Amino acid sequence: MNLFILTHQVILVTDGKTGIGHRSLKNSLETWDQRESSGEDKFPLPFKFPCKLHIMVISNPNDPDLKSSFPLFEKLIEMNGQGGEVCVPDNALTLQSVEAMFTRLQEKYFKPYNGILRCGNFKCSIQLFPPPDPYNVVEEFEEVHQEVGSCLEILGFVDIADVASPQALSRHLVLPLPSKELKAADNDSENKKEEEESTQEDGKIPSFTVLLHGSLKVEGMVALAHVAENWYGILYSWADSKKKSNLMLSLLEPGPEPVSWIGNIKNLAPISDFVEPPYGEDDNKTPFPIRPAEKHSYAQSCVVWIKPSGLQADIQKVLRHARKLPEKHQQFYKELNRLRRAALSFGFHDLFEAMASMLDRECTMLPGSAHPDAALQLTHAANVLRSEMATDIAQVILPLRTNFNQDTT
Amino acid sequence: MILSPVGLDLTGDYNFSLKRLFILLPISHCELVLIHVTPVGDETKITERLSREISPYLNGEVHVTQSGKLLYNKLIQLVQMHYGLSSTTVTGIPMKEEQNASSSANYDVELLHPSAAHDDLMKSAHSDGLVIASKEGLPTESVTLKWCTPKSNIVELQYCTCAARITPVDVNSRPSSCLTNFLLSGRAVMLEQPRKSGTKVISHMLASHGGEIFIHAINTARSLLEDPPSISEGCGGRVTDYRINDFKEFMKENRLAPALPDMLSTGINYLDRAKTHLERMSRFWPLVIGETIIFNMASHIDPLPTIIVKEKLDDEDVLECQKAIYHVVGMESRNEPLPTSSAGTRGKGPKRDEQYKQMWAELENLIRAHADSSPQHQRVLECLLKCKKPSDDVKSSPSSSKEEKQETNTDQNYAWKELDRFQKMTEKEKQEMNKSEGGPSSVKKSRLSTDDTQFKSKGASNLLSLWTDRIKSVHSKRHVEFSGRAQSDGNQAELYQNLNKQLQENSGMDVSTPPQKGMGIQKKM
Repeated sequence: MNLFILTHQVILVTDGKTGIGHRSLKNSLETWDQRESSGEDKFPLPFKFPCKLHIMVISNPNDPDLKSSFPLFEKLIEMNGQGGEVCVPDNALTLQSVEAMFTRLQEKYFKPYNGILRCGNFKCSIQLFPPPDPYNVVEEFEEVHQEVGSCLEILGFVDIADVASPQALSRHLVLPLPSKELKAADNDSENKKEEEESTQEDGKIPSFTVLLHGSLKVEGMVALAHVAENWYGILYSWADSKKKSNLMLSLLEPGPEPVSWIGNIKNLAPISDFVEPPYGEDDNKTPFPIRPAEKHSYAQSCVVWIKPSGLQADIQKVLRHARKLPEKHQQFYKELNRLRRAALSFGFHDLFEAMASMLDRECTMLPGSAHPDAALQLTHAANVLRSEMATDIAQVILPLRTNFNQDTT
Repeated sequence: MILSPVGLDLTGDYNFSLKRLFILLPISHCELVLIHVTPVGDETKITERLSREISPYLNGEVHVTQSGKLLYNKLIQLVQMHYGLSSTTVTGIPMKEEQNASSSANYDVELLHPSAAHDDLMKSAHSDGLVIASKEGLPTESVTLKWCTPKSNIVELQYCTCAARITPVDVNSRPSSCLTNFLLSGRAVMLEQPRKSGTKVISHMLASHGGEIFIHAINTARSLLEDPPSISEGCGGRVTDYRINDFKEFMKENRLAPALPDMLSTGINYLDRAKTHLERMSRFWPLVIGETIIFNMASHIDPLPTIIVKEKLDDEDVLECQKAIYHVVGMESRNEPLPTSSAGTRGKGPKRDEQYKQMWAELENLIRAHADSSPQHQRVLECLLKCKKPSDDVKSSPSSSKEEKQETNTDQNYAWKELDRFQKMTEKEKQEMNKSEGGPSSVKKSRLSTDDTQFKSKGASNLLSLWTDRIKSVHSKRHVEFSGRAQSDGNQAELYQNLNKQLQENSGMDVSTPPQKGMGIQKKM
């Protein structure tokens, strides 16, 4: 099961009234799938982008109408299918209770992530934007609940070509925190000019994230970082369409093997621990990707005769080689035996007679200039196909030894 | 799954024996799928049945199909349901004709893959007109995506919301194998949505990794990060002299690779090893060029910075480090300028002896950061402390305790006394000393003979020899060797040779020693 960590929040603020008649929420929810699938009239849910939907009801929580509208709001969130909640003020409808309701939402979903990026002795206070969501998934045997820890620790580096666009849960900008924010005692009354000055000063204080970003960008690498127990992410330089680049964190799927071609993260070792350099003496090879033990059917030439075209193609291959005898006699017998073995496996014995007559026909159509060995081989192959021996899977049709090919073989 | 008739009670039996074994996972539910196959064209009396509950443990369903191609379609349909697969048809793949290699035609290839690769796309696929009936005759819909001719092998990191394995529906047809071979060769193909509206949206990518082909779903949804700030706008963004090149090397040396089987059997946690390696490599690592002197003078102190970060040093490494330190001692004695960057400082930079003081402090920090690693590392630190010029200002090295300081001072004194002694020697004494050290091979010009080769021939160089080296080299650079001496046989040049010659000629005698031409001025350093 795949559950993406969502980063967008859509907030619907309503007075809790769902309307009446044709365009009422109730009616809309009953008929949404009958509307046109595009254009103005399209029902806006589910949203095309990943997002949570929160519905903030500014209404008296004891309003009797709410009883009927509440399930409709929940239906909206369910339709969007990506979480969110319906909020109502506590107790009575007052300025304070509405404010408290929004504060709760803010604390739950808009809390900024402040943490530390570490790489050996390099340390840098950072903010992730948007803040990463907790990861909650019900797997086959267990429920997984994880949160990104307060320290992102770099474990090492991998080339972009090796990490090759892995599946990621979410992306977050990694922004170094200004020194000012670290000083808790900040005066609110500071005027804007001072603030501007301090940001300019911050720009001049070297930051590890900028060094890391620049180097990753120039060298085409990513940094593999540990974000929580059994959870990893990659840091890299990312540029938008306007070529503005920044340091980005992609959170991978939690678990020991988030990218199959990188293998188990816990099996990765620093190259200094290898006797032979895994990237070669001159950086001319790579230990990635990890190759699976088995080859897939599309990576090998197995016989597929599901459709007539598959069988035809295989027969034609034999005939093409037959026309180029005796030069292609090795390929001819190889393909012929492949065809025969497949036919035996399928119990398709009729094919032998058909193939034999096709070879006979080829023999009669040989041009006068043809090599005499061609006719001999074709007749020989056709005869073997008609013989008892053809149905014995243990046997292989061997070329006829003639005076012509004795010299060459 | 096909079960024997007793299978209907199988889960109960199986679980019962499990309770005794305590090894295997209990089966909580079982699905029984029966497929009734008839020869092509035959009628059957059995009717299909949808899945229904037979017992709390068991569901059963019945499928009926004719054999051959139809059986294949039925199986694909079941596989698709069981594994949650969706179909994508890649359209417009240019392919050379088999018979006529000069012409090419466009082909379509249908692929199956986990449905997750369509999650984002399906929100609008129907309205965008991307969904067609399966061209391979599967009983499902297929999403069409257009082949984009790959430009080049630019390595780019895409933000992918999904990467799922694929298989062509018709595995070995010519178009399929043409596509798979292309991908297996290591190239990637972007896939574009042929939208009705005509907007170009590249939403997928086909690529192989380690012999497996994947479909990557590229994020096309609108994102909060649509107008992100540039890193230059943030903290540290206006600093321009980061040590990017050095950090590139740092990253390369801290790359990861899958551990080999024999490494895994050792039980070592290699990720922890990677972290300790990073820690060791970054103990003393100034971020910007303007903040460091020693890392800007690599040609002078190499290979010390790369050796000192090692986990273990052998004697050779220690010697190399010591050599580097002696080299810097030589530089200081010659008052050579240090490569300090003028960036950030207005007007005159710090004085040269200040620079050296800063340099020594930096070098000490670097070596001290590793001194605890091994006794060998400690030896390098001791060497540095011996050579470091005793500073007038005690505050300049607050890190060293008093006791340590005294110790180092005596060591330093020893080293400097040795140097002083050599410097106080008269020229003649030096010559003699060098001659005696160099052995009979140095009967050449003594001024030129105090070069490397002599000292190197004696094996490891000591501080004295290095020191004299430097002094000699500097001296030799400052003046042109007297050509008369350069041409003469011994150390002494005969003055007024021509005077003699003329006398000899005048007296009618042969010239016995013609002036040696072509030797010119010898300079070895």
